[in-house]
Amino acid sequence: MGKQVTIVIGKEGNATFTFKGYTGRLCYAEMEKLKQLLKAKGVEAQIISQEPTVETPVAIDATVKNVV
Amino acid sequence: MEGLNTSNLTKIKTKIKNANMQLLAKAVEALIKQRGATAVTKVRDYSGREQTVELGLKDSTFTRGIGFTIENGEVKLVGDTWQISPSHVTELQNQLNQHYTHQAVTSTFTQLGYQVVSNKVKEDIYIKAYAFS
Repeated sequence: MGKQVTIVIGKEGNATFTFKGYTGRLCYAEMEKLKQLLKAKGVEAQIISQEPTVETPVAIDATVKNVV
Repeated sequence: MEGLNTSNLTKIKTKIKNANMQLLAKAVEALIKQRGATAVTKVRDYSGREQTVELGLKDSTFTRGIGFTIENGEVKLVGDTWQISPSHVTELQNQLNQHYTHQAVTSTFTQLGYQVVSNKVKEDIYIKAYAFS
């Protein structure tokens, strides 16, 4: 059976992942792998519930610093 | 201390950490297309002082240009936001975040052997990733 992941990235950069075609632990194993790979690329993902759903943080820290 | 109320070349931090320059370049390219902007490699402040940037854009809102850089793994916006509404800066940050996340997600699923299809629906980006193993 094929696996399918649907990802929706909102206008602020929030991403929600929905996994289909995985059974039990395979889904979590895939999510963990995904989390690690995304983190290596600068996107911090968090598992937000026991359901197969992952969300990335979005909010921007608008700290402003002067260059000089 | 000078801040948002003065004309100055400033750096604005985002929450993209450990960023990848290739992904950032693709995200900025998408951002330029979305905003109908022009790519630039120099930004300036209100008084005309210039700064060279690796990636940047100029449009009707950011007429002096705004640059994108990675410092210690963090993505920062570089430019003078004097007389630019903070909401416009936030909007730009959000757009960059959305495009960067899109690039990172697409790249990751491709790396995992998935086929990836993306569509923009209104303000959201929908991605479907398929694998048949």
